[in-house]
Amino acid sequence: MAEATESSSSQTLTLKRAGRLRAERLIAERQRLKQTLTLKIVKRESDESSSSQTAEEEFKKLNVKEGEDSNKSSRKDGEKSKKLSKKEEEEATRIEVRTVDDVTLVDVHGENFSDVVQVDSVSSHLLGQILSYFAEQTRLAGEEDDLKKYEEEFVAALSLDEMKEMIITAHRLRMRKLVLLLSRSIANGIRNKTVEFVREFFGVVNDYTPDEEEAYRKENDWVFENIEEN
Amino acid sequence: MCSQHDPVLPQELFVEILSWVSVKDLMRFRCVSKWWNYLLSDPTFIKLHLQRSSKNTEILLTFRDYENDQSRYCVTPCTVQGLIENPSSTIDACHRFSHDYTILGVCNGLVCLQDSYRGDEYEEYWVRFWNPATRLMSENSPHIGFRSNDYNYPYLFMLGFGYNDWSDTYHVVFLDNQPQKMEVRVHSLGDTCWRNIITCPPSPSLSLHGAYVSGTLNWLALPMLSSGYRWETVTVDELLIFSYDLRNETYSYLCMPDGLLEVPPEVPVLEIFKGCLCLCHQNKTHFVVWVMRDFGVKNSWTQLLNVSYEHLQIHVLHGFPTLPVILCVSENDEIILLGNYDGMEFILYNTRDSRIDRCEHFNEGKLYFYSYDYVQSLIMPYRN
Repeated sequence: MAEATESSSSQTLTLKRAGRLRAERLIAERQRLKQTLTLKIVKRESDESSSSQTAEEEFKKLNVKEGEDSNKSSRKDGEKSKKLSKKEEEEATRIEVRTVDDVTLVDVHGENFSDVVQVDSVSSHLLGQILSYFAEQTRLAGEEDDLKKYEEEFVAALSLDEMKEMIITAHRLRMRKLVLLLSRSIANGIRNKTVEFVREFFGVVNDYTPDEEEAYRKENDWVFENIEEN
Repeated sequence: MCSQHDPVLPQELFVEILSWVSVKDLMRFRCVSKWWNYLLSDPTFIKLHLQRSSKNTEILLTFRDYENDQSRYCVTPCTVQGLIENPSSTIDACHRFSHDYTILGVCNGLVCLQDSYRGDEYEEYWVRFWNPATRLMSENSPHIGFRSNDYNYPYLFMLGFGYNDWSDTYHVVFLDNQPQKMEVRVHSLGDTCWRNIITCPPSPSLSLHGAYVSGTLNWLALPMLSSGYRWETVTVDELLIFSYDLRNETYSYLCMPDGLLEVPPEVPVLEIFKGCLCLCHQNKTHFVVWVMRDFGVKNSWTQLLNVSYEHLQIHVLHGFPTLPVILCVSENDEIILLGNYDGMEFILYNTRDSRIDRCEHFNEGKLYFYSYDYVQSLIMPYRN
């Protein structure tokens, strides 16, 4: 299946061929204020293996658009806010999430670029949450307290494993702020944990001999005190 | 679409996550695997971790403890908040050195300890580096020695410990101060010698340990005067700060604040708070503190504190009170914790409301309080 889309508003052409797309390019994180974010899940047109169909069904169709009422800025002038929302639509950033041959592609159509990033190994549930985070971030840009509160709630609702899965996708999408938030939260989550816990969590194989490990523990016994034994 | 396998984190994410983990946890995680040990000892990672930790600056409080037969220096890392709320219990939880070290300085969480041998005719000095957070300590540095007769009051040697961020090295500076000239000699962490760097004009010295700020080491000095001076006749223009730039290996002199109209009756003291150089002195009735907000800019000297001893409830029968020591300054510069030797008490002074919030006694036998900006870091006290 080959799909070519070209439009004058998005200045770059993206051409995809059948099979696994290997092109991964960086997405610059857009932090401009009052950005309209439209997310569309585009169904695959090919009639290849049906395994992808269930994957398709798993994805929710997300449509987040910033409207006038959600403009929380402190502008008291009604006319000004109307003008702004019109400008917002002109500066729209669209993110299209598509699956092609079991690979989820996230297109970001912006003013100056259109990039494709391969995102795999992430559940639809978490991807949806990432996109919600992005939307909320854009919406609350500039309001530090609200943003902080949202971030705290966002992180509190995630398990350590979910955070680990999410951070990989956020990293691929070059969502710097989310990566930072998740890094700090995961670091907090492994605080005071045992070496065994950390090995399992990160999937690390211990290549120390029992003697070597014992020697290290003896020499630095103080760091092994007062930790969570689980 | 969901992969059944556990996702594997790319290296950048490992590094990012671990850079936020505490030093104690990282010291434990060094035995997770050999690669983790390698990563956590890597200087680039250590620097990144330091950047993250620098957002939580703490205080390293030091003092000399005379309670036992042998007096020793003690150190205790603490938060500004913790120290302000409970100074006495904070100093109770201190680490007491078994050996008679003096603390020379603290940079990026690395402490420089000074040791010495003083004979009748000959003196020797050397240092050790110590990281309180990782509890790793280096061996002794090479010694620097001189004949005691070579040094006559008021030309005495001076020492300082600082960090050169351009070359990412930690330096111990020895000012070899003789009547004819002053030689700057430097020992860097990992070196096996002391290097002669530059020669400067000699200067009667007023303090032993230099104050480190923004890549420079600073001492109070009187470069325009000679050995025959008397403190009572010194003028404000003659009182200067000798500033040695670690990056450029040059020196310069800084002037006193414009608002300092006359030389204090006793030698003032240089201290560092929140990365700024401070000058503490007293006149007959008041305790005054100036802070240089922008280092090197003369006009940036501003008065942080100007409070009467009466207001601080410090009374002394004869002469002047011993200069109080500032132990820490709160976030917004509002609360200042002072150590008062005459009353053996901590004074919590509120600058906004100009009043004493609290007074707390400390045990006798604790003297020479000094505090340093401190951060928990993984900086290695030696080169591998």
